[in-house]
Amino acid sequence: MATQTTEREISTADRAVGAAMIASGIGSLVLGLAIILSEASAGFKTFVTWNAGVGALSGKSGLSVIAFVVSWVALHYVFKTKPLSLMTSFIITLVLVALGILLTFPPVFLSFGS
Amino acid sequence: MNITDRELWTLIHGMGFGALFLVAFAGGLAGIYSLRPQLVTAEGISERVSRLRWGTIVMAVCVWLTVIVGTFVVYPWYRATPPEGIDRAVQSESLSQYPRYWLLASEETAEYHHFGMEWKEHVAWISPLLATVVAYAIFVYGKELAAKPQARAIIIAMFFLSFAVAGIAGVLGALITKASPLT
Repeated sequence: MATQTTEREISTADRAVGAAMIASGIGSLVLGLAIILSEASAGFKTFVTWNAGVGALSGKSGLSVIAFVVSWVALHYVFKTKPLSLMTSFIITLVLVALGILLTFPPVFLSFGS
Repeated sequence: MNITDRELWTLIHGMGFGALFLVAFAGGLAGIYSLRPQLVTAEGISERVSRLRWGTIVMAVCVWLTVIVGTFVVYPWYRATPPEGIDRAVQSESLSQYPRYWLLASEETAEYHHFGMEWKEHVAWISPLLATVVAYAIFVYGKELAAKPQARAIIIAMFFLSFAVAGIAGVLGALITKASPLT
């Protein structure tokens, strides 16, 4: 994909990759939040049980993937007019992914169990 | 030699798609790391970018298939509930067909489920998100990546993260399978 870059501009490629990176962080965080909500609320656990054989994992992973795709598309268009530098996007992504991983850690999410 | 459907799908999940992603990581990492003008000619960069594009796309597809097969094919067998007639408090031969319950039947193995499976089944889903971004970034930057050290370093970091998450899931999966194999 061709890009036009000057010293002060953020290239088209940096914008596109930055949007995708942050979207992966959002998907990770949504996964973590869905796990916490599923532990804390029986109603939410039922809501995310999209497949009886798989149980709540089906909806938790499904919500994460939906958040990833939707936020990727949204950020892709937002970054066309309001871009962040690649490094800023990367730092935001690292924070979101770290939070997501932390919330998947059993000692953390099981402490929210009802 | 006899392989059941459950064993076959477990192999496809772990030793097929999963192992392919983990093994291909080293090649992908070397390809991205060495994508710099002082190490490769312009012609070499073109050839390497083409290979990296396909390689990272295949890796992303592999890790997606790993989590999809693991979650929707193998996991239901792992968590299946034993019928009423089987005692869930004793690690019997008949309970071994229900790995989750077999592990929970003894304090010595319960942590394989409480910690191992609970972490594996969730954290694994982060890996395909990151692998997809790596493949997309290689596709978008193309040859330009050779002249962008910062972008290259960031992509390598995302690649490492994807590998690390998949590695956690892979190691936990191997330990759980060793303790209570799906047969």
